[in-house]
Amino acid sequence: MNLKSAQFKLQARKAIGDADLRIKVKKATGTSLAKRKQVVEELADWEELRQKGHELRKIVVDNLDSYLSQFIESARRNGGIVHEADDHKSAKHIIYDIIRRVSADTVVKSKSMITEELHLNSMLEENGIRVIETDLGEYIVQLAGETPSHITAPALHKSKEDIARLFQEKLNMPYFDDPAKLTAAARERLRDEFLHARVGISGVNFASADTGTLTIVENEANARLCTILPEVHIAVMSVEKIIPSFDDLPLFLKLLTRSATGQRITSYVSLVNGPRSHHNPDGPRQLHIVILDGGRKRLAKHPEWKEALYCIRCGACMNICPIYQSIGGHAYGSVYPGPIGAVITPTLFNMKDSQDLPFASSLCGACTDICPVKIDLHHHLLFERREIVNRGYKSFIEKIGMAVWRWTMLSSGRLEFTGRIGWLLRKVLGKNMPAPGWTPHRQFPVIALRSFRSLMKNDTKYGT
Amino acid sequence: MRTPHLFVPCIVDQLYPATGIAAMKLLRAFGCDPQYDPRQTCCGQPAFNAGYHDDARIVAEHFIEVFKDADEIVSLSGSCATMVKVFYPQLNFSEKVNETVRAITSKTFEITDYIVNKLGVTDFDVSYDGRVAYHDSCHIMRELRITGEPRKLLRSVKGLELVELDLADRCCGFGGLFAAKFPEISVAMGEEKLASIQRAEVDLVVGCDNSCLMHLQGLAEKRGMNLQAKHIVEFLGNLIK
Amino acid sequence: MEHKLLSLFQSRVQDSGGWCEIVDSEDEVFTTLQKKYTFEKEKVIVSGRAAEQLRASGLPGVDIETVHPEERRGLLTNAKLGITLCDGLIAETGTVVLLNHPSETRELSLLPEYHVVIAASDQLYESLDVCLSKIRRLYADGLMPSITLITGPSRTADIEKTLVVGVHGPREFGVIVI
Repeated sequence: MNLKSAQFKLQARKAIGDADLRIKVKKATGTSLAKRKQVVEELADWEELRQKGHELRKIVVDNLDSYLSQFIESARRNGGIVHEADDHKSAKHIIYDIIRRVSADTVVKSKSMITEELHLNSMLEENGIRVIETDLGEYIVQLAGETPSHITAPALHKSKEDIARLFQEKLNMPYFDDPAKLTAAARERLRDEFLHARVGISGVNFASADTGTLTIVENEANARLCTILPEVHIAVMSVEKIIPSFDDLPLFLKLLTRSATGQRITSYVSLVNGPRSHHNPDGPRQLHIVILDGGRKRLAKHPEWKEALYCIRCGACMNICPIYQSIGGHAYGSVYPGPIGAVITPTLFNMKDSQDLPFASSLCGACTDICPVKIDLHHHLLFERREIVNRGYKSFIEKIGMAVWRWTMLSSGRLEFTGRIGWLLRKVLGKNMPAPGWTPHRQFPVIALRSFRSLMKNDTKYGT
Repeated sequence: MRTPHLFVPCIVDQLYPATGIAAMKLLRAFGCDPQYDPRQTCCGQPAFNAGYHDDARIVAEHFIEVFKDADEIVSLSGSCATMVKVFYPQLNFSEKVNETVRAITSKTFEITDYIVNKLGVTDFDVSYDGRVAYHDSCHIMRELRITGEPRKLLRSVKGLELVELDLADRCCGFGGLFAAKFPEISVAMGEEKLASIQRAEVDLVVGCDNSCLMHLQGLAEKRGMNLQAKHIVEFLGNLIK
Repeated sequence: MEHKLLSLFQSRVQDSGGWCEIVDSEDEVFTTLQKKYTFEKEKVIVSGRAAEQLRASGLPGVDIETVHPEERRGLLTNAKLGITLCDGLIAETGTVVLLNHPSETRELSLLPEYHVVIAASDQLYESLDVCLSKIRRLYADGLMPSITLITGPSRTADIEKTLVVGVHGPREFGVIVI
């Protein structure tokens, strides 16, 4: 796992210094939030839907193995070829093998966070295969040689001017910063690729255990093109994408699309029930389903961490998070940014390297309130902070500091003494009082001449 | 007569004693006989939030020892009340202490919640001429779900015009240790809150947590912005003759 | 009640950027299409099952079943308008439900610049729940075909959250409910 979270502090500071970035991110997240609010408020039973979603996700994660085998059986019955991959490396090999066996040199790809997690594109490209991202946002990010900064709006960190310059440089076309024209340019260039590619790769939003149905949610129709036109469709998913039943789809679609883009439903929802066959007259000749574990089965067994697997990847927690809004997605240094990223990166990938992420939160709880499947996101950050301390990742100085704090707080006399030292320092040093992390940016408060406890000694009731 | 035990967080004790004095005055005005036990120090939240649950638990045990016999515990901070009510059950106390914790959790109240819902005060005879905004601190708003009570108290002040901030449900960026660990992000969030306050054109911002107000005040002062921020109890207490 | 659902459906299709006309009989389909589009007949491709239904009242374009299978994709790529039937309408969201049907390739709703659906008012469901559970019952004894839910034209908001209609799929989407 290529994790850049270890440099989080540096990356966050750099992002904060980029005023343009903040404006772009705020504008985009604000638009999504406003649209979401409208379509959520029209549903009187939204809270019950969230609760139901939470419960169903819990059932799946608690019984992951049995739902997984049920899904695999159903998918095979539909004619799908199912591959299970324990880790990233084997998932990539499976996918590469499928492509090689049909001697394809180009694949068209629709949005999939799992393939981002796998760093699939770079592996395929190293092996001489052209990979073409076809979701407009992903296409932009790929042209720029970057990674997505948001799970549902990959190019959210780019302005239309940025994109116009990018297209001018990479696609040899005149500069125009009209989103409609830029979109048309991408359509024109990608159409032929869809028609000629022999392999299409897509992600999966939901996989119904009882019917083997793969649900793919999108707006642009690029996922339909990737999954219907080529001879071979490779659907890449992780184990926790499973939902119990086909009958649960309306609920999860409602939770997902309203939270993600503020749409009652997206333009297209494809319910894929197998490759071309007697019951499915058109579509690809082969449907491969690659199911990645990648540490998720381990998480599913953990009493606390398993909850992060309930996530349906709507991105609403990123949109509402004041920290995400301030620094954007790249600073997190993980495929999954924002609150869910800060929760899942340490437990799924590498806790030591990503130990700053759970601390980079004011614990305001806005993410928990917006989560459509009621993941207790900000409390999970607290659980992980405890784990990071217990594993001894914190500095010796911090540990000593905490011990001194504890010793001080175990006696009211020591607290009072410390407070008075503070008063004296503030008196002598005035506004130059040093307080690391505080004073360079904020004025240090005036410390009262007498503390409350000392004033209370004069209170008639408590006077001595 | 009710005898609420005042839970005075360390920040209030050492930095903002006026809030504590005003709380005594208010509770007495509402017919209570407030108690203060000077053995109290801190609820343990700084260590808890930093991930040091063992240190937090040890300090929490001191808190429990001080307050175990109180009938009612009234906190002068929404955040510290949250520590007791929401996070104490997550600390690994011995079974014996846990029993006391359960009792303490249910008898701890944030002060505006206590005044409105326990004392039943919704109207009192004071007046203030000016525009005031209420700042929702995250813990009181999202952990304790207290949003109406402080507003109710403010609305009962004659002449006071209560103004809603356009980013009312947005965190100010304080977040305890977060403010010092990630000052750049914290400051960026605080600046947005200050801008929202400026847009509201108020004379005063009141809240239920001195810590958030201290952050905003410190930011404003550094920028030469004139911000009047006060704990709601201090504001209301000063209105009483 | 039914009328109320139908007008909800109509307004939700419009919300999603599509158009929806309600007509009395098949005879009006042709004129409705003529009012909307003036394409040459060879640029309009009609699915097999749609052609069967419309033949009596006037076929607005080429019946795809009459085209050699290997030429269909090329024809559809250059087509202006694709016409299909559907298997359900969802009032709550303005969605059209299409089952993968032997005489109606999914490319018809995907490759041409415009896509028009001919539907019947008795295909209207209040919500997706009801419609999907009916489809599931229909195939209780065997395997279900793939299902496509279409709501409005293809769209994106990937550039500064500005809505652009017509990305990789149809630029315009319409429903004629009989």
